[in-house]
Amino acid sequence: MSAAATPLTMARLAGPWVKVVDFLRLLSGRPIGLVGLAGVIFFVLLAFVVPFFVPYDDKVNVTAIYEAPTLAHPLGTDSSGRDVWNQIINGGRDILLVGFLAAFFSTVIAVTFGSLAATVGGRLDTAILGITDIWLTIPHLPVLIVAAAVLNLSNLLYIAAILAVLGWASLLRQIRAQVLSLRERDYVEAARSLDLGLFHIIFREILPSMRSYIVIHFIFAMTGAIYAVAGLMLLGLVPLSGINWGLMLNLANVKGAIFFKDSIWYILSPILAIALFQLSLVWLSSALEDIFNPRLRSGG
Amino acid sequence: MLSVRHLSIDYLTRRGPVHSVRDVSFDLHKGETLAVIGESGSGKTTMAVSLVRLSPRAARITAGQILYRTAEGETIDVRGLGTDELRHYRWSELAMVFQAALNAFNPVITIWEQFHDTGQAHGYGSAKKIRQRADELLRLVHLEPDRMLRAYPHELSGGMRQRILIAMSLMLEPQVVVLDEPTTALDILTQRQIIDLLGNLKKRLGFSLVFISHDLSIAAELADRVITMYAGTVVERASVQDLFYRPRHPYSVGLLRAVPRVSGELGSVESIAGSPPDLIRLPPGCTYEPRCPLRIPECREAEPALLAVDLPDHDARCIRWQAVAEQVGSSEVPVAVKAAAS
Amino acid sequence: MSVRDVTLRGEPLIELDGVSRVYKTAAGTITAVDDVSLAFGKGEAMCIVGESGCGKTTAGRMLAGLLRPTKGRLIFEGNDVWKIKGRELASFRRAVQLVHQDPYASLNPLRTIYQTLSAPLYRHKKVRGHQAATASVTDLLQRVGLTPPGDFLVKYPHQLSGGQRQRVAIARALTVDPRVIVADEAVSMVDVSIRISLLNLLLKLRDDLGVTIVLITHDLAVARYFAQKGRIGVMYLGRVVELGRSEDVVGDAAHPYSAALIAAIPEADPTITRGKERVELRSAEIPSLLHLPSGCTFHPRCPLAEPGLCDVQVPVLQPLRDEREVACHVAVRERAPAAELLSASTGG
Repeated sequence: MSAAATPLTMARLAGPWVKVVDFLRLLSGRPIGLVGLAGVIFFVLLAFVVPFFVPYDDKVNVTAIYEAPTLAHPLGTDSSGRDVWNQIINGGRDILLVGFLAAFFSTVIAVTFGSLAATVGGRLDTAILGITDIWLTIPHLPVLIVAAAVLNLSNLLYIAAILAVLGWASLLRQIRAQVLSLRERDYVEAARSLDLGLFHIIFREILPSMRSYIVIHFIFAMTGAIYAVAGLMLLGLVPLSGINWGLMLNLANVKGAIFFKDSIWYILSPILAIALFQLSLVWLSSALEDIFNPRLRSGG
Repeated sequence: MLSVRHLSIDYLTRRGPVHSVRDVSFDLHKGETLAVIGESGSGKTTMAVSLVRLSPRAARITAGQILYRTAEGETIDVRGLGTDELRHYRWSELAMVFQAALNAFNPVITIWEQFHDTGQAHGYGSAKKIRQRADELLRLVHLEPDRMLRAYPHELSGGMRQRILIAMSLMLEPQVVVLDEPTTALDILTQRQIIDLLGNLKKRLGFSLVFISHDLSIAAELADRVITMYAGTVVERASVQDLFYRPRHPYSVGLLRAVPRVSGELGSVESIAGSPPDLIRLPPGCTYEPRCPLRIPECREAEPALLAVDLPDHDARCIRWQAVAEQVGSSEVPVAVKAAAS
Repeated sequence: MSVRDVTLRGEPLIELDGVSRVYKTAAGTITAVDDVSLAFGKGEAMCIVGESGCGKTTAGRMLAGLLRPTKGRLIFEGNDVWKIKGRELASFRRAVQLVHQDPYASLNPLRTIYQTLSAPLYRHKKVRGHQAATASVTDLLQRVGLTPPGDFLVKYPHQLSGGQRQRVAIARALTVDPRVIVADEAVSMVDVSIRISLLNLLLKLRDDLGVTIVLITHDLAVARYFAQKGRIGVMYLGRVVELGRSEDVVGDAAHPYSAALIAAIPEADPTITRGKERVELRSAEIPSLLHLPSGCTFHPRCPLAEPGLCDVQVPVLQPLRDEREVACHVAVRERAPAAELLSASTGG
């Protein structure tokens, strides 16, 4: 019954909805991926939508320091008696945004130049590869620390840009290697002899078969960037105002929360938030790997 | 000697069970060479692999029996064998040479070590005894033992590797040898050597031979009897002369007409229209009906049984076999040539 | 009068002129193709036959302009292809299309049939707009026998059978109105029951569109069928050893190698195949491409080989009777095809 009904429902749905339904149907066969997707959606909503309803509240309350979870404070309170749950809600936006942007920039750089190097070859390839190799030898942490000291890192975009500039090189090498092998495929050779042009060959023939690869590396880049930015904040290198999960860790450290037994909820909350979000991303990416395979799409 | 009864095998996939082998029955007699011919997806390899119970995990035997009669006259139910019995059966009674095995030699050990490992695993005896046997077998397949045993697989040509595999399969003197696509991927002159070799070995050692192939010409060369498989089931069983000159199933006729020849008259060569059915959603009635030039409405009603035709020891899964017989006749002329004449 | 003059009638359309292709590997130098000259006329259907390692695929790729010869020239309509540049080179690339062996690898798995076929049409401004593109793609699908075309437009390659995919690959080649199609083992990976229909399709394109079609195959029966009224060239270890009309080559091979090959082929006919007269070779081993034999590369295996001649001098293609050419000292000297010489020696 349901098997017969599916094509009908599918046919009635227009354009992009078919793809969404198809995607969810495929994802539903992979519980880990479903949990991952739910986790990602949860954190995105938490970080970007919930703050509209639960505005940041930094009122200090010295009578309620390091409280255990209660109904009023589901995750307890911090060193100044502020609500940790409120901070978690309001502290996700910056972290997620920086992670996303950093991953986006570095992926764009890596994909563009990596595929160009592999497809065009010759001197361009040698030049791009040379720069990449030099870049790879630059140690990240010192550069980040120096950059944080020299530049005004209060702008999120700057942090994302710096992380991206530091992070593209290894991905570029991987993308280039992938494109090099895909370039030898018969259908790419056919595209070349049909004179379909470089743009078509890269963006229509080669990169689409790397979708899953790129998305998965994008997700990994994002997890990397999130850890990097959280680390920067923990070290206090980013003079950010407001609140975010990294800053929470930094404050917990600075205010000596790690020396109190009662502060466990305060310390664990941002760590868990980051870890769970990252876990969701990784789970989602592992399920995506299967789904991007068109052979599994509505049968042959 | 070997008797397969109503064997059915499903493959479990995401889309549902693939009915890869359906109701396959045949007998193999002592000293006989049986060819199983069919195209990709006909179930021939799945069926062959099940004879040694080496089917992949997703495959399930859903019905049927595989009965094997030993030299002592004992009948073994292959489906019911335990692990140890199965190991004994696999090499000492019925040995199988896979097509994939050509590339599946362990690349880092010498041919001698392969022989030695196989001999030991089956308790053949001391290294000296195994060595003697290896020498004997390699000479049997016209290879120089000293040179071969020292070699690594990559140093040998495809034809040599195929001959070594055949030699190894004979180590424990099996009564039945099953070969999967024995000459595919080999050059013509090498193919010829393997075919001649198989013919000679059989004559000398007297084992029975089953080979699985999509190549009709190897069946024409070697087989005594031929079974044609289509969409997972046997559509025709006949002697080799019958099958090539007096087929009674439209698919066998189509297949024969689809293969051009190098010698003799080319005749009227023609492909079969359409493509094989989806093995998950089989058409009602005869599975060949959608492609069959002789179809009538009754063909859609039920899948026909294997029916005895006008020739002895010959059956076809076709209710229209008389119409086929009328078209093809009984003379010893290739089907394509007859078609050109009519 | 050489074969070329007889069969080509006029100037050749495309020509390999003394091409060689040498690969340098860690183990040494491999000569995949050695001084091959082949010319193809407009609208010709020709076959190049040989076993693995004979250089037929390398020759085909050089013919399609996908591989640069180490030596020699590729000539198309009188121009040396590897000397032209820019727009002219691009137009050559489109004029010669290769159909690959593996229909599972030659179509982009992520693109629908419509996308695959419409891209070249848009790119080369043969159509404008979705409607015109759909009409053109529909025509193409019909031309290659994929009917009804509507069923195929939105399908992905994995939803098609091997034979159907190969038809799509042929349709894709047709999008750029090629003058030459090089089909490299184009039927060897599809089921035997439908091979003939693919060959018929190629022959029909030749008849309808006047395209030159060069089929490269290891299967002599396929070659015989495809080149029924055309020529077959037989290659062995990088050289063309025999060139002639299909029925002559198959019925009465001029070169001892082709004769041995034909005698060895198993046939789908029990009486013929079991009664075949064998040609006994002196050695079963195929020499390594790294250490090619001196003189005629077939001499260590050849039953007609004469010491002092065949192991010293490299034979070149020379005319024999019946519009055929052969690279064999003995056959040329005796003015007889090797098949006759061999059966005379076993018969007498």
